[in-house]
Amino acid sequence: MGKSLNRRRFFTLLGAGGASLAARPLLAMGTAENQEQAKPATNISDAAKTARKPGSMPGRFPGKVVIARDPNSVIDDVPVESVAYAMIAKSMLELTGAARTEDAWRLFVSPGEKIGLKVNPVAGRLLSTSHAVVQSVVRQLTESGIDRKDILIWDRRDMELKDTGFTAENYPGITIRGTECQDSGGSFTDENGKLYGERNIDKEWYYWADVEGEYDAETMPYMINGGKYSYFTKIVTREVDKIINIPVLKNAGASITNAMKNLAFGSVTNTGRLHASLWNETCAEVCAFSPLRDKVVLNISDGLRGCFNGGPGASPQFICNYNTILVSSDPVAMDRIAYDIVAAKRIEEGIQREPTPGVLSFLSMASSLGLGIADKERIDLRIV
Amino acid sequence: MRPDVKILTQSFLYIINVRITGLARLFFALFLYLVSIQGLSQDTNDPPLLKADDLPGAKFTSSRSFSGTSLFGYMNGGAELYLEYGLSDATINEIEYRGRKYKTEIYRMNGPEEAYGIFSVSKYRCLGMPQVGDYSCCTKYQLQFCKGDFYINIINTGGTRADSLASSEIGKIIAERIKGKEVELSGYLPDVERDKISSGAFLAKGRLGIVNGSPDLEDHFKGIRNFTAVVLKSEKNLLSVKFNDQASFMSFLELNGINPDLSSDSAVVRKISDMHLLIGFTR
Repeated sequence: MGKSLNRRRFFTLLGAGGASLAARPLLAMGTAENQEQAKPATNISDAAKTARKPGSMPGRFPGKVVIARDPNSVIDDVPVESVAYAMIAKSMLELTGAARTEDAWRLFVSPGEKIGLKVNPVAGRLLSTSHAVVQSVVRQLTESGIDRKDILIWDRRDMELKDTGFTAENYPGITIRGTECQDSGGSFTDENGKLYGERNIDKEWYYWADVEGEYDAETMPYMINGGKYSYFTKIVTREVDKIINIPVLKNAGASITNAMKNLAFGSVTNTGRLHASLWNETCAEVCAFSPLRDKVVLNISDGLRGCFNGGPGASPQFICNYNTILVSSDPVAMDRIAYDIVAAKRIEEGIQREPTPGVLSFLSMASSLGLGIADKERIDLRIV
Repeated sequence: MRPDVKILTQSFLYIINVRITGLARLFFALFLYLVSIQGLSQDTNDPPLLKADDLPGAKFTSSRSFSGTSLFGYMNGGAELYLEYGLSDATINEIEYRGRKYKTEIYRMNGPEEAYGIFSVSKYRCLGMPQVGDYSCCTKYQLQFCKGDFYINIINTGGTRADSLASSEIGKIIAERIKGKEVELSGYLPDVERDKISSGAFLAKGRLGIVNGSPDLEDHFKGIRNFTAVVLKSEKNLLSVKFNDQASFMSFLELNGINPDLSSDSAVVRKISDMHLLIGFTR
């Protein structure tokens, strides 16, 4: 919709009768575009210095997205593992064209490789990546020959993982780790006053942006460092060979937080400074660095339960059962399709009137970085 | 001075009247006054937390506090919205009560407008508006309300009527501990009844508030800062927007093609005061 039409709709008669604004002399129109402030510089050019690999993002099946839906996948607001298992298995077959689920999985992972499952527990127990989905992924991995000891469930915050049930008790034999962590006494720092989280970051890999992160002592444990550098976690740079990304299908304002956001903001430190002015750039550009670009082989979006407003936090009134799982090796294409699902729900619920795909600039940025296909016309969407 | 402290002071002075000199009495009175001020200030500044004996048999299973940007530690991306409105601190408690689990989120904002703002952008399809706090909204899994500087969110996991009743009980205890004045919105929407404002108006203090509360207005606020907007969508949709500085005001006018010479009311854009407009719009 054009800007002028928007304005006409905006300025209508306040009262009955009266002259319309159209009769008034107007200033030369300022546009939304020229009101946008210049974006801070980043080190995105560094990302291209590491050569891509054959399986680099968007992976084996660029532009191909599979949606599995099952109305029985959530009963009494609780995701059902057996149904989730079947939905993922069907999706894997559709995505790969393999005849057997094990063969489908083995196109992405091999025995002996360290496999990281990037979950999303950031909204707490109300809306974390569900155990129905994660347990199903673990089962299918082990059925495909992956040893449990080679699986690592990870996210930024160790405490959120524990709080949402990603524990040794629920996942025996599997390593569960967060970059930001506390000791058993609840302290974030060791005997020398150093953050435990600092041990978990790799200063050789960083996303630099010309925005200063300044945090007080209380905030620092959740950021690990301030300044202009966001360091990657060692989990992605050193500890895992492959990453399976398992986000939750959520809105972020009129946009979404799904595959790209889960990877980008979940893998680096000092993110507080990035939300306000570089949200789109961060979602796209952090994923362009080798530790993510070359290791993420598969994305499985948990849309059994998700949210359509109030995201990425969990507000109960906005949580809904999408009864959906999306599977793709291409996180950009997956997010483009995920957006349609969330936008449709927002329209249905009266949150917005029409789709606003203009909010997806992080996808066009990611596409131009070669991370996947953002153009919906070019996406091969399969529904099972 | 609080009445109880005043009585205490007078009693002490009466008892010791015969023993101390006038100057000593003055110092003693000053001391008691300062103690009372300190006590009063603690009442106002402490978060309105539940105490162990408020809910017989309740077990407090976890308590966390966050101030300012440390809210990122509780809600990574979601913190931005609270910070945009103006958050002072937050206390998150988890409670087991009558065999059920509840989470109370107590957000102290920088003022009543900020508290109302975050409440207004968070409420949705209220099943009821129980008499808790100044404004409230309950849904199956949640009771939220604002009072004074505080926005309170009580979340249950069961979604039953018993959960709603317990949430209401918890909410009333918290609300009783909150002192402070109610938000005043009539200045934003003159001539609109309070009931209409309270049931439908949302208040934003920045882009994220607009994006979350009225995304269809986002284009009209692109790059605009330092404002408070109150939006009421009913038979007549109204946007009341007040700016903190002239530069932001002028940017808004320019972005939306409004004549800066607006010196008197028009049928569409009404000037309430300097840097404060009331605009009618369609959805």
